Amino acid sequence: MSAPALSPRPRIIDTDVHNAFADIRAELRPYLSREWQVYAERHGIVVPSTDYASHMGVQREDARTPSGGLAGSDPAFLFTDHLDRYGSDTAILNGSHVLGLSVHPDPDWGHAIATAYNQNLANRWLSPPTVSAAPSS
Amino acid sequence: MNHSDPAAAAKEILATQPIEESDCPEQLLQVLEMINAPKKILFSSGYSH
Repeated sequence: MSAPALSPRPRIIDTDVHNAFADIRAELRPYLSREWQVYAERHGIVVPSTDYASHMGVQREDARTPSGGLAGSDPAFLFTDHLDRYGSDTAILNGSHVLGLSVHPDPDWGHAIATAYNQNLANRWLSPPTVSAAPSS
Repeated sequence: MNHSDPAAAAKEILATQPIEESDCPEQLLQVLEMINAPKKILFSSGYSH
């Protein structure tokens, strides 16, 4: 086995990056079954809160997307605004809005949301494949 | 994570965001040195928070 090529500088892996949804119901809808789409339209997609709160707000206001969307909700902008700016090679995506899914009181609905989340994540965020993601469980 | 096993705990690595700051930054550096931070702490920005 040959030695791996030396990179010009150490690789930077950011272990905590939060991709987000500008509109979780619209973005997960294509990945829900028809039955769950009807359910989501009637009840919304509500995930139990983890009660992490900040008087400044959790999402950075100065990192909103060019169209004014929630910080972290635009893959291309996240790349330029964060990874490229600071020279990070790899980011581990820990998601937003879904950290409480593991304790959703309705396991069937929680499972449907988790599946839709993961499929959305793969399609929307994992190309180019320089970003690894922590799957929602 | 098994806190009853110090040897296992000593092998743990972690990331934290945010991190508590001290009015005296030197104290934070001392703590980082005590816990062997270069081998323990992962870089984590927490972006978009």
